[in-house]
Amino acid sequence: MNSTLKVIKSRGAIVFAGLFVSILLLVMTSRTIKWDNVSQAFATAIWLPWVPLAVATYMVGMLLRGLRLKQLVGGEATVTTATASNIIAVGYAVNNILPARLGEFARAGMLAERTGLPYALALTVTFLERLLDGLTILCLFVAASLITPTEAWMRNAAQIAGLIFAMVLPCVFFLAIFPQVSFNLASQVSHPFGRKIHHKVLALTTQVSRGFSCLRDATSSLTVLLLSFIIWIVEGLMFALIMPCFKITLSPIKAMAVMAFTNLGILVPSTPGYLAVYHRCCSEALQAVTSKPGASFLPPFMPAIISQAIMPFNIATVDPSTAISYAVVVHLIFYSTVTIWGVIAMARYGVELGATAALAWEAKPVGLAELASESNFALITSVPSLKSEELPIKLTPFWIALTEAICPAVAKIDSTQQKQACKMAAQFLCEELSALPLKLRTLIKIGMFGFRFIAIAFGLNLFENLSLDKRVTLVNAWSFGKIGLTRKMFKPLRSIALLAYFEDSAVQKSLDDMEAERKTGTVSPAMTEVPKP
Amino acid sequence: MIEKRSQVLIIGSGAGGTTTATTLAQEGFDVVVLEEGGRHPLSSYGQAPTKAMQLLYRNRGMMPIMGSIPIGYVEGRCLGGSTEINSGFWHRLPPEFLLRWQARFGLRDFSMDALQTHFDWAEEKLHVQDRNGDWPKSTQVFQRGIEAMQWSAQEVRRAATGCVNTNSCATGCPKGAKQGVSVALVPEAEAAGARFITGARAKLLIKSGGKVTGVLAEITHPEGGSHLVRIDADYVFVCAGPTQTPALLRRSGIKEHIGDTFQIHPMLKVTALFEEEIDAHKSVMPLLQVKEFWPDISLGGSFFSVGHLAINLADNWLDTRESIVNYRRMASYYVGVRGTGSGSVRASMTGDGDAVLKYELSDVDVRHLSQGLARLSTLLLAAGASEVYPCVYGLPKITSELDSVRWLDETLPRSALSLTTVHGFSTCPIGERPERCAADSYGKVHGLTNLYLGDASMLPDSPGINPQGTIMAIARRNALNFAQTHKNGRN
Repeated sequence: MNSTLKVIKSRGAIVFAGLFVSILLLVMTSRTIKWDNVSQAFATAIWLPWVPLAVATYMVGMLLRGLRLKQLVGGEATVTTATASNIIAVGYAVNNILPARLGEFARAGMLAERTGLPYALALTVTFLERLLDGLTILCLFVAASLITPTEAWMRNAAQIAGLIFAMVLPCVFFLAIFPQVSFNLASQVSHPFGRKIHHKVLALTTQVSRGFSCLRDATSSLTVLLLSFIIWIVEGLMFALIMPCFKITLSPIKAMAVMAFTNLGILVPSTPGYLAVYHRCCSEALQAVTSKPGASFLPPFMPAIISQAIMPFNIATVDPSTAISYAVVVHLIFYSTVTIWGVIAMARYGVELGATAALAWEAKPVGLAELASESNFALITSVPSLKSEELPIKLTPFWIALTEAICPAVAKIDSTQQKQACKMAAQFLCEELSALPLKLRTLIKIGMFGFRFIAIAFGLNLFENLSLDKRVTLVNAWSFGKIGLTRKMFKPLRSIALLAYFEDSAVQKSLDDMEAERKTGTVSPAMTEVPKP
Repeated sequence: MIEKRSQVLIIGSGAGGTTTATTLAQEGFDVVVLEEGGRHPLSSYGQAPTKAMQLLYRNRGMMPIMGSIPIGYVEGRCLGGSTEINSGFWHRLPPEFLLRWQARFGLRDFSMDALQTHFDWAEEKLHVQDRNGDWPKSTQVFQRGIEAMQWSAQEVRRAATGCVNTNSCATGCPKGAKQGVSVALVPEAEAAGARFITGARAKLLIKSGGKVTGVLAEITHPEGGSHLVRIDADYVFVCAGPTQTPALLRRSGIKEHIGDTFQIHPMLKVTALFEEEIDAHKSVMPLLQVKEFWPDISLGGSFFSVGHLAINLADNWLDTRESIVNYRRMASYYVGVRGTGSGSVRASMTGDGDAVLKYELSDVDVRHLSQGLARLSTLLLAAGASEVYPCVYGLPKITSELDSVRWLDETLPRSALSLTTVHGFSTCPIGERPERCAADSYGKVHGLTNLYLGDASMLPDSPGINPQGTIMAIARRNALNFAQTHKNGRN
């Protein structure tokens, strides 16, 4: 009861602070604005084709966010890009309607409900998304600042944001990379505070570590980072597309700086939909970046003649009234698009409620029956398994091609059987390599990256597309060549592949056939690199 | 008034864990055993090695020991632990090792007489006996070589009553002939009230006031999903094996002499091609061990399948692969050395804190391996082998005695060796020498009043033999001592 009251009180304080900031900025902004000029700016604005283009761009950005969310939860649960985009839209919509960034909690709640993930884990994923957003925006702001001039106060504000992220980031990576050490630390720190707190802290640490698990895999980490950059570059494009509405020369770089600063600005508590804070940050940033010359045009990307035809204007410096008009339109596009999308998604999913994996999970806590009888067992937390385990090293055409190059066809085997045996061996090879300790697995991955790179240089094609002869030559050069390191790397690969290949019943039968032939006096090589047709 | 039984939590269900569980349950303790692997029926045993590795082996058999040369190591991860996948070979601890351990580690009450009853008990439970019937062909040819060389050897007794030569020792005996503890002891422990919870990985021991107050474990459900649970117990026995016991203790902040002295028996595999059909893939592995050069060097028989033969030939594959077609006329053997190098087990900082294994072969080890290869290949050639294939890169085959004896004087290049091992121990040595022992003579971990060890990790040093018998006898001895000590102090 007391804790609930505390939460309400703390949330109430945030709502009050947000309201206060919004009103303050609203008053400050309205005092500096000449409203006649704002009306004039709206009256003379060119809406087509810029606004529809901006809306479409924003929607593409939302789909990309969905794709990123899908990737972030990929290790734990399955969710489609459409559903993930809807989840994000719901979160944004709730942020636009309700105060205190409640949308983040709604988004985590819906993610949990849609996927069956525990709420704490879903909230961690949401936090990770926002952290990635913040980092990407900061990087884009720095990049844009290098190209286009920005005011000192903007850079100072970005530095503060950078400092916050610099403090959070190591914690996130620690939890992601060192889950067991985090768990040990959490246990040690919370143990003196009694069993209840100890269990709660351990449960939270477990879920949070799992939420960050996608960062443990380099490929997955790079993918989400790349997607984050694409998402915010697309968002910057949306900001750029509104510029010509007010006859401001279209500049993606300046728009990027405005977008980055605006989104950093709305970290400050404000009213639902970031009213006033968003407008103030956006308009100030626009004025700042357009107050100095530089990076204000599309060429050399677009010939001058075309840009003149599309945008027969050339406002380089933006006055406060135009800037606030610009901010209003950008905000409106963001606000209305995502709110409508979110409300529709909420309505749609509201109808389907009750048929989800989450509810199934809640209804049937797995395996507790046998533990319930144990008086000395205490359940701390449960993590559902919502998708089959994915191998860190997946079976791809490369691994099949590599196995074919390692495993020579036995003379009596036909090509279909050889292909099947090699595929099974490749699958086994991937499973076994996936079971290696993380460090060794990473070394194998790096080694294989080098091997594939050399293969491209050697055959001017991907390894898997090379002829079997060339593949065998390459594999043998690495396996039995003069470089000890490559020999050492290929030894376990060869051993595992050969084990599985020669355990295949068709391969063993062909060996028996060979032996029988030899007994009758026929002598032919037992192994060929290329199977007989 | 109803007496509340003391709760004992045992982590690990291998040779040591199940022996401890059986003993304590029969002594009236309330025993729960956590086993990380699954409980598999006999019908799932005896599959192809590729399937068995996924079912019964830790990390699907991928547990390399790192060092200047990596050494392949495997251990079981299932109910019964490594006893489900070993050969069932049985030895009693040789008296000279018993004396050495007493002298070096100050083991108390550790005499052959004191251990006798415990070996008897284990041998009775596991039906340890000499083989009835003829030797398989791979043993017969080995015997021929031994006779030709006039070396001392012994047939190893096995815990495999009624063995019918399915060649499934390493993949789980589907006939239930080999007496893994899941067959021989678990039912008895369960009958006495012990409960085995499979799919349960101990993550951390919770310590408070000089004792372990609970264990945090992750229990995986067969249908998917997992639970993080806390299990409280009056006493905790860590019997998770030579690699997992030190990893768990170190993760839990217990580090004094833990994981610093990892010992193994490095083994070099050798395959021989004979003129006659051996059909080693259809019979139990060779049962004789050459003791002429023991304890430094042992020669014996190795598990054989066509896939494993391919692995043995893989070092010099381009030169040797044609030979695989003769697999019916081939059998595999090993040179085992006692291991005098230095090794360690640590909990990985990254990921889930898995065990990181390291072992550096000593020069003496390499020397013994070279001499062992010389002797084994001479023996095999004398037994009628036409070609001998060692797992040494750059040495595809040995075809004459003169080629063999070369290695009596020369040393094999260290980096050319492909070694394996299935015996690990001594990561938490017991004894009364505080400067080198992790626990006292009865396995009680120093500095903690209710934490005990009971697996291969507690063996003070490399025993130079298949260690299952020794592990079970010492675990039984320690469990009985624990029961005696704590009966009066029962809750």
